[in-house]
Amino acid sequence: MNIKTALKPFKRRLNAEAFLRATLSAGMIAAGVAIILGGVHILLPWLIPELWIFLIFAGVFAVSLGLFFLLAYRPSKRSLARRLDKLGLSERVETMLELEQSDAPVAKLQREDTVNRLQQVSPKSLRLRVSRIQSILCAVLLICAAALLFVPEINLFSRHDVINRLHQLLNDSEVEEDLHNDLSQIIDDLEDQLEDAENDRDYAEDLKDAQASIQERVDQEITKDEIGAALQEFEDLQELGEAIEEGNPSGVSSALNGLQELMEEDPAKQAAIADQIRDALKQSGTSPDDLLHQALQNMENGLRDPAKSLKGVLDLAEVEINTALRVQHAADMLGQQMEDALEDAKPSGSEGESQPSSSQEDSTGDASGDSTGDHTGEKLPGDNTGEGEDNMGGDGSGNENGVTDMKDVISDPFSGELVPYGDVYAAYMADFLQKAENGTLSPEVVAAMNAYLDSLRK
Amino acid sequence: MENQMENFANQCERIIQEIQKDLVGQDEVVRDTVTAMIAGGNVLLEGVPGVGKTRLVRSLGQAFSLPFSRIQFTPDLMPADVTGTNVLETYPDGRSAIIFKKGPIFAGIVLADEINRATPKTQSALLEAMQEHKVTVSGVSYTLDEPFFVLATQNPIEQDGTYPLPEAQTDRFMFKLNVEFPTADQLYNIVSITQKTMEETAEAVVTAEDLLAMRACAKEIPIMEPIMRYTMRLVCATHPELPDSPDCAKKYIRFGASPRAAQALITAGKVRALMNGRYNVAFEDIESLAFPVLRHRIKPSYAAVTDKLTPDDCIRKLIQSISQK
Repeated sequence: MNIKTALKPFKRRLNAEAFLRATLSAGMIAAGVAIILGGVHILLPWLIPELWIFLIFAGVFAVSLGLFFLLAYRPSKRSLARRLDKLGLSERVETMLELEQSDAPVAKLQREDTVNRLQQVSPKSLRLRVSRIQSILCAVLLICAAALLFVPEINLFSRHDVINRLHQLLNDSEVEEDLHNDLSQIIDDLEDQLEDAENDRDYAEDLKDAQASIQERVDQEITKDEIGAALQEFEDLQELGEAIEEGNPSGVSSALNGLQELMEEDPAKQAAIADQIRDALKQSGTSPDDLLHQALQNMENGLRDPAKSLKGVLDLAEVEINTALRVQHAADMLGQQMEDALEDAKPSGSEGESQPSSSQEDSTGDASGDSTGDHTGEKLPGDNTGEGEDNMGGDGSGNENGVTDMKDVISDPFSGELVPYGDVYAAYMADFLQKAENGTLSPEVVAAMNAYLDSLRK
Repeated sequence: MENQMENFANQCERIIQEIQKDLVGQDEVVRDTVTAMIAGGNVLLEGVPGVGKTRLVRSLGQAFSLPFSRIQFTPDLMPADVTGTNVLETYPDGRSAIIFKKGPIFAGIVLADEINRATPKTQSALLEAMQEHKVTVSGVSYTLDEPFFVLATQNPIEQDGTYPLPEAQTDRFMFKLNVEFPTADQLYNIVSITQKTMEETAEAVVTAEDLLAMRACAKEIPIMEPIMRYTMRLVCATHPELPDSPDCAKKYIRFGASPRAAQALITAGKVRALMNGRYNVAFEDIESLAFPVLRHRIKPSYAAVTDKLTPDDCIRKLIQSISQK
């Protein structure tokens, strides 16, 4: 029998030991990782929503670790020799390995003697060095990891989480200061109420009340529907009213161009249109402090002022109307996001629970849909796309200031084709610069346009 | 050579069995003495009178078929009494010549009884022969026949009027063996044997040539590097002044062993391995031989004396503190 054959059964036994140890070590670590991930998922589900992905990762990690440990624990020839010598072989095996290549007579004698002795030793006398404590610990960890699969989400920090989330949404938005302060107050009030909530029902009630408060406050900011509807009562202003109600900036531009042509053909129309605007504003019942109201008010005043050029008045009006629409849209989006966050924070099984509404479901709507977030046409540039789902036709990533990124694509409202936002922006900029150079725009309009276009680049 | 290696253990067993015919008990002493003889080393036997030291040596001489001589060391013993001297010989024809009369040292096995009773000068004459296997008288060197062994004895009790061997000279003894007082049962057997005959009955087992061949065989035995390194670490550990020496050495040892200790351990280790039927030196060989090799080479400190630690206790602590890896 040669050396290799003599050592084979012992090597097999030590390989089995290495496999066991590797499995235990990898299993312990993987179970630990799974427990941590599972615990995080249970306590903070919003951090790890898709636990199964991470469990698969933990499984792959375990297999990789197992292979690593197998390589680490795999016995070398020398370690095998040392283990065998401890069975009373008195360094025979280790010496034999050292003299493996030697042809000296004593080396041959030594090998024969060692092989003979090895045959007298049972491989089972080589005790497997597997830690009992490690085995028990591994079993316990694996059971705990498996048990976590059946533990429902506790959502430990949801109460604070929803408050933090609301504040974060508010801080990331570009709403007017008044609205910002009012919404901040609503959030603070909600935080106080949640502290006092005794059970899930109270908790859900508080969230529901906050949703209503936010919706009510945001609705106060959204005046385009009332103003748009009021304008549509007048034939000359119908197109403009539709565009405002839809929140469509290119529609606004088109409508104003139409009005310009009309008033240039018939200068007498200028005063009539001014009156119509006045009546529409009165009819809408909106506050004179409202941006959109102010924009139309300024348009009315400009039309009545003979010193001002028609084109200048209408250009300024376009800028101001679109700015107001953008602000209202931002407020609407913010309101939606905050309501969604509150909806998601409601405990499961609480009364009045509904499916978490995404921004897209509420905001994309149809033309006759609700007044909030109704977009059928082109999205207002600079809108905070938030979840990104309401940026029609685009990837809707948006930047942190809510302005559509130059690389985004948007749908051309006229052709329906997808065009890069950067191109659209460049076209507007080029047109503006040409007109500014030609002197067709008043300094006030130029300044307003500059500020508006700059805001779109943030 | 291969046959000799295979028969080595049997031969050693037969030698030991023959000696044990005359010497009851003292198995370890006998084994160690045989080991030293095969390894080519000299042995210092220490024991109270009457425990069989002389008998052991005589039996060894018979078992190995070696000429035996005994030198009783006394304070008035002169070097010439050991080595021999030049004498004027007168022949019947009236011629006279100065011839060298060999001393008792010219033997195969020399028993130097109570070596510590002789003067240092006489001791050194013996020790020169032990080291170089030759004697020099009047400028002429006489080589001693191989194999040549000195087994010296010491009485640990009577220290008055003795000249203790200095460390530099005890270092020349490969082993120092403590011959213990026999147990009651052993004493019974001793008395039983000696009532029948006081003569040694051991028969010759091997010849001088066989002994030299056994020595050559033992030299061929391989020793792994880890064991070599372990041996060196063990010897170095006896030196408290070295930075890596263990705490027990620093506390309990004053002076450490010389490099001869390392040589003795390796040489004797190979013999011991073969005696055990193995063709390689093992850690257990070195550890078991550490006691006879080191006990006379290390000097315990006052702390060891205070804590009543013998040299063997110190060696045991050293072995426990040195890792085999």
